[in-house]
Amino acid sequence: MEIKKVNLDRKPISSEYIQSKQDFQHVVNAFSKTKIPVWKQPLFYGAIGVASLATVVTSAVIHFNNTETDGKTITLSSANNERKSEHTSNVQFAAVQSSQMNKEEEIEKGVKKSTGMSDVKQSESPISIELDRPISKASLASKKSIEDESFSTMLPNISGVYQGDISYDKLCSSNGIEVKNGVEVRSFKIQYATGISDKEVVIRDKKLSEVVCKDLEKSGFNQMVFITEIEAFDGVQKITLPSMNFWVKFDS
Amino acid sequence: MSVNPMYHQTNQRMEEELSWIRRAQKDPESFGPLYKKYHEQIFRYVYQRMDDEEMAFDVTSQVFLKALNNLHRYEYRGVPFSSWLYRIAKSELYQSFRDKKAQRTVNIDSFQLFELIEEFVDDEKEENRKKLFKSLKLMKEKDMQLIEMRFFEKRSFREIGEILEITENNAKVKTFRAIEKLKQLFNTTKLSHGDQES
Repeated sequence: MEIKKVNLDRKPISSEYIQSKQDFQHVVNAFSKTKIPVWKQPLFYGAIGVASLATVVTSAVIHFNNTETDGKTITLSSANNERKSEHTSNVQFAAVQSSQMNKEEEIEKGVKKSTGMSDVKQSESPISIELDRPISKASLASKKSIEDESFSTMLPNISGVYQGDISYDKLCSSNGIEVKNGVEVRSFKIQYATGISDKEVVIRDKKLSEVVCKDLEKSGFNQMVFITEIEAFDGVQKITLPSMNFWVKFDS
Repeated sequence: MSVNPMYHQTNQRMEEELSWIRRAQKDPESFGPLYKKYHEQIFRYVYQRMDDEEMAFDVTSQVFLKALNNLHRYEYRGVPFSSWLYRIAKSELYQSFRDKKAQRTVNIDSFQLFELIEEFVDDEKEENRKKLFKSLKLMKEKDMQLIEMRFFEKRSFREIGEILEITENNAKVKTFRAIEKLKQLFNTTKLSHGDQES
């Protein structure tokens, strides 16, 4: 900042004059004008915003939970109704037999049974109230674990490893790709690096071939191996199993 | 050199002041005693650095308004409340200079000038006066404010330190350096033909 002017012996101002110029009320009035009302302060909007967001999130979570539970109820109740309708239509079927209904009526009942048309009527019975109860979280969890288990039984593995780190010995000395539930692996494709180039071999067996194992041993370095297109036979038909990838280690 | 006696207060006075501040933090009307006590000091500080009297009164009002607005942030640090007001005043002053509402001016009286010239040379000739005037204009703002506070406003180093938020010793050292710079400028400044005539 540049000093523009130097004054010598400027006329002094007396204290009385300065005091006469004091106007505290003017300062207070200006202060009350500049003071922002609470509802105009950013903090207020911040608080309102946070509260609104929390409300929306909470309601969304509650809604989501309710929808999830309702969905399960519907699934289960329809399953129960199916079972129930089977039972009821059996009763009806017996009644029809006893009254010696003609064959057309029997067929009609049979159609009703298979399409579940009788469900609507049956669900109005007192028993259905009990059946339509929402599923508890524990039963949902148990159902989920059953599903997980059935999925895991379909996972192929080598010496119990589905993916991740595996030693060279485990990879080559084991019984090859195994699956629970008596599923038998027939063929698969393996991709690996030989050190010079990448190689892709189709093996018509559940075990890795000697050639592949020798290639891996020759390369001698830890590498990623991809096993894809795993064809298997589940006793009834040919199925394709999920792919696997391993980090083959030589040092362990 | 006698120093400004208004700044230095007893502990009892400081405590009383603190109670005013506490009250004013809750109720702006209670700021009255503080305003009355410090209005003149702050006005003089502002007016010392500018030429326009009305503008000085306006800036002073602005200082108190800002103080009132920020009073909830005030923290007592064992120094008089005025040091906080001076800092606000300094900021408001510079703002008015930046906005070109006021002109930076140094106000000095003959006796102060004589004291200052005595620091550099023995004789108080007209030529030396003019040289000092020219040297003051060439001073940097941060050095000028130290000289202003120490020599023209007669403030103690403790007060200067508290206003500038530096230690008392640091205020001493910086003021000494500012004087040395002024001395250098004084010795190297040559009056032009125009300066000698004015």
